[in-house]
Amino acid sequence: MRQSSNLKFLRWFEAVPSITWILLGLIIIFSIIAPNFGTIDNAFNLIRQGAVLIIVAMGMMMTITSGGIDLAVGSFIGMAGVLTAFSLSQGLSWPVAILIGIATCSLSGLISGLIVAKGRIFPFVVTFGMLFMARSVSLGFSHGGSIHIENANISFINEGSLLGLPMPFWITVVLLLIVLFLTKRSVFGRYIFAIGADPVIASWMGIKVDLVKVTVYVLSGTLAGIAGVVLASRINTGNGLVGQGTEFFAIASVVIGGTPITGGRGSLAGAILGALVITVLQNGLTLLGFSSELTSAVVGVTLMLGVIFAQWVYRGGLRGNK
Amino acid sequence: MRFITTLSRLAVLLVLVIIMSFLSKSFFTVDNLLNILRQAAPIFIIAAGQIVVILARGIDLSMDAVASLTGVVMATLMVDNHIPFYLAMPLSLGLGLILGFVNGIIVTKIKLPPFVTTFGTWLLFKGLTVLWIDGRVISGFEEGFRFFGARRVANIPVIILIAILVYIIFWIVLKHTTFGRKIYAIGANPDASRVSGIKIDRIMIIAFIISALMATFGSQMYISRINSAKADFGEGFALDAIAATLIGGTSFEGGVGTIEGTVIGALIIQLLRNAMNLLGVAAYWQGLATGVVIIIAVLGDTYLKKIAKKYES
Repeated sequence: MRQSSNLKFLRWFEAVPSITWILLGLIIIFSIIAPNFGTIDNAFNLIRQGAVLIIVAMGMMMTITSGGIDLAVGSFIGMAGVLTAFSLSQGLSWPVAILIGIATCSLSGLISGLIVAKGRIFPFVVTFGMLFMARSVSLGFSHGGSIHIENANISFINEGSLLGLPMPFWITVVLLLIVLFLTKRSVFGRYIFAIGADPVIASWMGIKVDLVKVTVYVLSGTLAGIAGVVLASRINTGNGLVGQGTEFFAIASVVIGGTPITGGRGSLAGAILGALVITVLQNGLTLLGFSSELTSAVVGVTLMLGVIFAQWVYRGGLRGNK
Repeated sequence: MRFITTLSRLAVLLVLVIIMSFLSKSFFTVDNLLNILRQAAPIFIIAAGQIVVILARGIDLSMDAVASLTGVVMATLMVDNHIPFYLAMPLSLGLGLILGFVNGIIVTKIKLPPFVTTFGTWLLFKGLTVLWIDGRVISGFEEGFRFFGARRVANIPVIILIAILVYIIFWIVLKHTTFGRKIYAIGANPDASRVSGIKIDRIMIIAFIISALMATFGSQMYISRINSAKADFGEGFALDAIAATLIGGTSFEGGVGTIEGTVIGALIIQLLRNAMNLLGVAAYWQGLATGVVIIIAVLGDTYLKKIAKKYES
């Protein structure tokens, strides 16, 4: 009797991504010790701050699951913002400006994907080169500084609200539903897992490996572009340096969310929870008066502990090592 | 094959030099060429550490933070505590050794992927750097320390001679010592090396210590050259170092790559930077060139490999 209830607990414990416990713990701790953490205002703040990382992490989860990686997403964020701001400053209307920002990122993702798939080069190397290129494009268009955005419609993306909830929340939810459908309900989703697990067997099964890979990088670029526009609307500027380093935080979100960095398996929920852990940490520590660098240091240590925890659970967790 | 890779890099470098000589009169002068070498020296020193880790299938993203932390610690020791440079430099190298050891232990004993580990420690070390000096800019180093970065011997900047020395040492270590061969073996086939009795963990820890030591040494040379240190001066070192190794033909599969390729890689990056300066192109566009060169270099290698295979069969 006792054993079966233990087993039930174990199953329940394992069914939830391990990162959930860390997130819950952090929220409880910060609610107690950080002033203003548990307020509605701060919750909205968290959503606005977290949207960018969550959106990028969803793309990263797909690339890593497919056996790849996309190091360029951080630079895409800056590039989308700068190109949107630049287009606005050239007198283009706001939908066109946003489209230019996002489409350039999709196109860059397409280039990465084509080189990865057709050139048979390590994704790490290709996207590393793309990181330099995208950053250079945004620095070139902004002359190394920032371009101010004065447009009510762009500001609305961050400040506006719908049904009492901030717009970034709705944008994230819509994107989440799309990615959820793609990974869980579509053939494409199964293909991503298949080529990540074993590309050779996947191609024997008749999966168009190259096409799937290219699509993954296009999606990753597009999501990063959208995240870039959201961020640009939050700070009301296009700046080529703002997204720098986000690629690493996104990778960390995915990995502490339980997706192995070698691909083949992946958890979308885990990636989003991982991104939330990082956002909650940054937000809570800032409320406690930590400087941004000290916050980064704590986030760094937490990330390593999070991955150790995720690996422990993967190896068997409470059941003991396999 | 390795010979062809290096040769192709040398050809690219030569073509770049020839094109630049035609485009700009001030390019092919002794002063400008020495200037390129002088500026490439710190990147090369740091890349020499990075290649050891990459050859063993690792990566060290924490190098910029290690460079910043050890650099500012050394700077404050010299300027605030008036410790002479011949003591301050070994002390900061000692700190570098500890930081590298931390990376190595986490990767080998706790078994976190090198990518995740060194990203985490990168954030951690960056935080420690700011804790150490906040927003201060430290300058005004003693004459003895400035010798490395700012003085010349026989009209050649000392920093270039040091970089050459580093090259010779790394060439000997990687090619002619058992440690070097073990690094290549681990990268080429970790399972086979384990079976054949190589202590992988110990070699990996040493590799991470070497990369941290070179980050420290590179930052010392850099500080000596620019005569100031602040919390974020190391930013971009790790990416430049990785770019130099990649352009130089080092593979992320591990076990493939040479130190001479890395020298040429660092030179190509610096030459592009210099070329854009001379041609009046805004410095912001330089990353575009670096990115294109990385991808072309790696695509070219895959193509060369195909041709080489054809000849063998």
